[in-house]
Amino acid sequence: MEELPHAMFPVFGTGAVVATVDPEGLDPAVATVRRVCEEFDAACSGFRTDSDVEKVNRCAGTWVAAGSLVLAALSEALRVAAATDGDVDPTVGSAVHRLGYDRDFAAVPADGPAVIGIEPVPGYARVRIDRQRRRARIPAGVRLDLGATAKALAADRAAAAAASAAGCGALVSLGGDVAVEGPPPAGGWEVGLADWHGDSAPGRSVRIRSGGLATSSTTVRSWRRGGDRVHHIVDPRTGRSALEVWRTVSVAAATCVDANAASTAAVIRGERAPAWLEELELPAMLVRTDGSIVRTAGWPAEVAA
Amino acid sequence: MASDPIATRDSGLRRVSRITRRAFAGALVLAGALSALAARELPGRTSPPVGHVARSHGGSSLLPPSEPGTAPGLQAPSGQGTGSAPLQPPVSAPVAGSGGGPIVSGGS
Repeated sequence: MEELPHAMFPVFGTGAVVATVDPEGLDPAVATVRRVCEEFDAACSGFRTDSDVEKVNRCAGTWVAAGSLVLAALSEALRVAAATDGDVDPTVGSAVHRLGYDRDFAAVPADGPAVIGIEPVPGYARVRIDRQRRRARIPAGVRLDLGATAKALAADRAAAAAASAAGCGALVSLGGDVAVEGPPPAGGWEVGLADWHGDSAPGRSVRIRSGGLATSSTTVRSWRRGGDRVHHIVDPRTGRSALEVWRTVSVAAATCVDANAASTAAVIRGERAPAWLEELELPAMLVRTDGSIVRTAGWPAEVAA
Repeated sequence: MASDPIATRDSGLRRVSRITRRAFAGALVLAGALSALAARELPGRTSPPVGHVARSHGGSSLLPPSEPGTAPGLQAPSGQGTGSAPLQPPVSAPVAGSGGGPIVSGGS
C-alpha cells in the first residue's frame, strides 16, 4: 500500500500517529487531534493533580461536580466494565498504584520492594454518575483509573474530529490504539502488529476499513517488585497483574474503545479468551508467551511477514 | 336532654369520613415527597439487562450484591448514551496486510 501522509508526536506519555487520505487534510487533522488529546489529558489523566478524574479521586466518598469529558469517559468505563463482566474495571486505580505504577511510566523505578496489601478491587458497581447534576461519586478508599478506556475514547473522538477537519478519511493512533473515520484509502488502512506500538518493523499487519483496532501487551509496561515481574494489566479479582497466558492480544471492533476493552479483557481471561471473543464475533489475534497464535472470528490467517 | 340517635350517627359518620379523607390525602403527600426525595438522592439508576447476565462467564466475585440504590449509573452525558451495550464487532473483519507502514498497533 502506498504510504499515506502522516505525522507523529508525543502524547499521554506515549506516541500519536495521525494519517489522512488527502495530504491537504493532514495539518488540520493534526491540529484537531492535538486539541482533543489536550482536552482528554486535562480531564482524565491520573498523573495530573489538576485533572477532573483526580478531583473525583480526592473527593472519594462524596458527590463531586465533574466536567462532561470525564463523565463521558467514566460512563464508557462503566459500560466496558459491564460488557466485560468486570474484567476491565475503572476501580483498579489503587491496585495499579500499589503495584508501583503511580507516575508516568518513564519514571517508574524498574525494581523495588515486594508489594504488600494486595486484594481484589472494590468493583465498578459502586461507582455512581448523576447525569442530570453532572457529578460523580466513588466510595471512600476507591481510586479510579480511566487510563486505557480514556485513551481509546480519545482515539475514537480524535479520529472523528480529524476526519471532519480534514474533509477526508483519517486514522488516529494513540499509543497503538487505532481509530479510523471516513472513507478509507484504497485497500484499507494498513496497521502493523507488534508487542510495542513503536516497533518500526512489526512484521505482521492487517488492513481495516472502519472502527478501531487495539493491542494489549504484557511485555511493554512491566517492571519488577520483590524480584517478581509485574505489568500494568491488573486482574480486578486479585488486584495482581494478570497471569501471562498471552503476550499480546489484538482485536478489531466497531470502535477503538470496544477493541481496547476486548483486548484488555482477553489478557485477563487467559485461556477463556478465544471462546469469549468468538461469542462476541470479535476478530482477534492472540499471541501466546511461546509465540504461537490463536485467531478468532475471521481474523486473517495469512499475514505477510 | 337525650340526643337524637340518628343525628349522632350522622355526625360520627361525617367525622370518620373526614378522618379517612385526611389520611388519604396525607398518604398521597407523603408518597410524593418520598418519591421526590428518592429521585433526587438516587439518580440515573440502571438495571443491567438480562442478556448481559446470560453472557457472563460464571459470575464475578468482586461484584457485591446490589444494595438498594447502589447500582452504578451507566447513563452517559449527552452524546454518549451507551448504557450497558455489549462490545460490538467491526462492520468488516480485517484483511491481511503487506507487513509494513508507519502505524503500529501494539502495547504502549
